[in-house]
Amino acid sequence: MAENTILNLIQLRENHEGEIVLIKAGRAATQRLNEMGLVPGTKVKVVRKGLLRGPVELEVRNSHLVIGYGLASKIYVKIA
Amino acid sequence: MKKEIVIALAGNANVGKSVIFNQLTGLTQIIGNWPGKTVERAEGVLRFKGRTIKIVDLPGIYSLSAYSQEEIVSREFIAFEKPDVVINVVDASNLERNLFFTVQLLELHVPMVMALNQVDYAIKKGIDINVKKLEELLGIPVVKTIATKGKGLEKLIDKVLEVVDSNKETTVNDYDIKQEKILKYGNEISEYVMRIYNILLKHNVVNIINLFHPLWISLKLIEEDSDIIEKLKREPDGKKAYEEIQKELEGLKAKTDGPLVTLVTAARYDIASFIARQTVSEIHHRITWTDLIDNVALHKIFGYISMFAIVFISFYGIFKFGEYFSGVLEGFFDVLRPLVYNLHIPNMYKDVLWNGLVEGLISAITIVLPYILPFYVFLSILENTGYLARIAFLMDEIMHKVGLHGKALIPILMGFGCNVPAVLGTKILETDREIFIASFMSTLVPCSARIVIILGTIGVFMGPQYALAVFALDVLVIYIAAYFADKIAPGKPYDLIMELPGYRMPALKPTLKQIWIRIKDFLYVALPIIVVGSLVLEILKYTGIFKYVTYVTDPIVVKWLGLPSIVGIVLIFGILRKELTLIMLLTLSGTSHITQILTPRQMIVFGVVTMLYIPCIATIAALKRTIGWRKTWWVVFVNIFIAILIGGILNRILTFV
Repeated sequence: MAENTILNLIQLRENHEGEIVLIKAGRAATQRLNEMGLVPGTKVKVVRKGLLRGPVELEVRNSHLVIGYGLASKIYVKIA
Repeated sequence: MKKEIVIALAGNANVGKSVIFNQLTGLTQIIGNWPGKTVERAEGVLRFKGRTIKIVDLPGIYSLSAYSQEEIVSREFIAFEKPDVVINVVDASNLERNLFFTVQLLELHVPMVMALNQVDYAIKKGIDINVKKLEELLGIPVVKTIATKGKGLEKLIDKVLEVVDSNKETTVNDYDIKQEKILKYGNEISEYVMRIYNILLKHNVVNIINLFHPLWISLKLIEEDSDIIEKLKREPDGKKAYEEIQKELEGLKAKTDGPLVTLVTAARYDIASFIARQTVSEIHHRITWTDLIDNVALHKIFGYISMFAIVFISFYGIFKFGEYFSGVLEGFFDVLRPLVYNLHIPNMYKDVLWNGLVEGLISAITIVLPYILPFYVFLSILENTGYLARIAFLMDEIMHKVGLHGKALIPILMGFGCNVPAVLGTKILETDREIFIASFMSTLVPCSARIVIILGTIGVFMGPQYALAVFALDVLVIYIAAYFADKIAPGKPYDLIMELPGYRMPALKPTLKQIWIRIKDFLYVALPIIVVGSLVLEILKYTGIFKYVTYVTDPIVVKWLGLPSIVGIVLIFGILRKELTLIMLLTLSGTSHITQILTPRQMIVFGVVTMLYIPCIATIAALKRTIGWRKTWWVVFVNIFIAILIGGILNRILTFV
């Protein structure tokens, strides 16, 4: 992959890592994601994805989060 | 020395807060609601070294924003009721995220003690935490605990008492953020905190400053917290202060991209991760059991297979156990019959006594209890192991089709135990819209009482496969009903955001206590209603009043649903408790064999109608508290409509059974 590719979490493959650059969701959803530890600069790893348009399991700050498909597609990460 | 002490337990979800609460308080605890809110409030008392300590278990939350009712309730409790000490319960195996919440408690500058819980799991994950360093950085006592085993709890309370006894009254007059040792947000935020604080001082809105804390209130105003802004505006001169703050914040907004709340949240996480880095040493990253199990449990194919297997096997086990246990109890009660009939009283009284009082009691104990007990055990295990969260993951997409997300399935599944906690539990969801759809769905989920009716009639006399078919039909009905509810409810659906907890071995004592508290409700509340209800019905039977009731209900019950006329009466009593429908049907017919009253087809129609026709009175009360009267009546009406519609259709198409 090219340097500094920007992908959303749906595009990021399982077991791949990235650093959050942007969350393009509504105000309340963005705040919630922030509070769960997803702020710009945070490293996240996609652990697994659900069936079809199922949710995404992330490893972030040493714990696991599950984010719905729609929201996951609004979280953008940069791959170093 | 203060004698009456109030302490609050605060922390994230799944950190063992409730386990600590249960370990500290005895079997007598009050579970009520927060005033004006539908969030559950648990309170208990601990007597320790001659002191009386009131313990309040705050809801498990991740933040002190105005995002959910739980969060507002928690911060208002801390601000208004000023507990003597806040025990911040944190999960040692997941320190950084937990510290994010700790930082917010520190901002409130309340007396605190930290319970560093689940240290055993942290060790298993290969994590070691330097407690001394943590105490030093946070400036509060930290005690290692393993709540499930009761370890460290005595020391925790000792520390709490030390804090209480050393506590000096602190009123903040001149706050300066520069004096903060660990709460360092960077120059920009710190500067704006002081500017906002000065604006508040200038307009003399000291009330709100003293209630919370200068630092916390200023940060909340930077975050544009809607609830705090409302509170500020209500103060004299508050509106002016707010306008000035808004103007001031323009400058900060111009310098930042993205919302200011992200800026503040990121700064808090920087503090949390700084503390974590200083205190946590991960010896080596171990592959945990959780990772291994989840490879199967959350697998795209095997995950679903194992989920269905777990649910199927559990229900089968509950059924088998119930059947056996019920048989044992029945044999035991048969001994009582001659005792009543050998009494020297007129025969009519014997009938009333036996059919009303004893038969009612026997039905309740032999039919309901044997199924309720294993069911609660199953539900507790599902809840306490963390598997419920996996179900949420697997079912997220399906729930999305009805405007909900996987997390909504957790309260809905709780409905299998009892609809009341299910409806109240929908409050974990974010919007009124989701709460409405989920609580509507919950009312159609067969609770233990209705499961018992179906297992005890269709299951016993027609075979478990028919009972399963009825449950499958119910799932379909719930899904279709929710689909329409989603279409008519205003607003937009939200997406899932959920922490995936590690698997836990449920601790025996707290689990048993949880089961006992649930069973207690049945024994103390339901059982008397059933017995008195049976007795009243039996007496009414002799007065002949039923003729007039069935006159009204017959067109629907007999003509459309094809059921015996008497069902019209038991359905009315079933509104009190669903168990009553079956128990009273038996009592009124003077038999304990349902086959003498209902044909197989009638059994199915009766089971389905009882399952769907109306939420019981307790559920209606819970609905009212959760979604208000208007929507509650809508739910009640729709339930009745669905029950009559489907019952009638089944009566017409099931000609082969």
